[in-house]
Amino acid sequence: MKKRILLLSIVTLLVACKTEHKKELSYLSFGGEISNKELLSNDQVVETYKNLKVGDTINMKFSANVNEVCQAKGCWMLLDIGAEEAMVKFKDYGFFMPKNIADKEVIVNGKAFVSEVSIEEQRHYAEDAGKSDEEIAAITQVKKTLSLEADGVLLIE
Amino acid sequence: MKFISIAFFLFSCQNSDLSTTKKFIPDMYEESEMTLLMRSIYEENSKMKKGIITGTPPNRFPSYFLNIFNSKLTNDKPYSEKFMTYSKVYIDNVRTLFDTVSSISLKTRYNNSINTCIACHTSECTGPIPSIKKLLIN
Repeated sequence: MKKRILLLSIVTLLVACKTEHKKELSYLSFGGEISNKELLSNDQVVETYKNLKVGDTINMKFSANVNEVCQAKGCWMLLDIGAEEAMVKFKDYGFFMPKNIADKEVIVNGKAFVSEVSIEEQRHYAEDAGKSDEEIAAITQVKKTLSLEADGVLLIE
Repeated sequence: MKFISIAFFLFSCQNSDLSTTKKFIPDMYEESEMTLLMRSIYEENSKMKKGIITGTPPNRFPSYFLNIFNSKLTNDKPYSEKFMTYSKVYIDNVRTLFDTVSSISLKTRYNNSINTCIACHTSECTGPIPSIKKLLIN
């Protein structure tokens, strides 16, 4: 009898744990409504950006970890897409992200493009990100940036 | 034995619950006086644009635009010299919209005022530029 009770307890525990793992991810939505389906893989994202020229745009939806967020307003974020980062801004300056989402995962949907960012603009972003005066002064070259104008973002809680 | 099994099960469940109750609290931006003012100016310009296109131009300078010189910036950031210079030029450009004897077309004067906004944002805060460009009359 004792063995049966113990066995039953273990089985129940395993089922309970399994149920816990199956729990669906919850999202916080920002901007327009988007789904969490049909995401490009990281390789596809990298490949797409590689083939873009300045002036080209293409719609993309993918998930990535947030490396950095604008600490002034949450009006831009840098996403980790492997060897490089993608600078994400939000359509029509119409919505902002929370300022405390560094290292969290997001799903973004929007228009991808590559652009050249002036020294002045890079310094402005560095200031927003809370970088030191020395770090800001060290920015002395125009940078080619992978960008995305997001119309909707899902933040995985 | 029965007691140990039940206790073990309950303890496990409790741990599991604890890990899922840790709620993320988003730290959202609280709009500054300047941000709110900029939104109002944007809306006013949208109306002006429509009015100019449809032949019902604005007839009164929106005096609240002058709050651009004293509204608080995000995080109480001090005004830069560039910001003050561009703001003065912008206000002067907006005033020209109400100059009834000007030889310059209303469309040109209006676009000049919007281009001042774009020039300022290029050096101060580039985020809203794509939206501001939509205010231009082609």
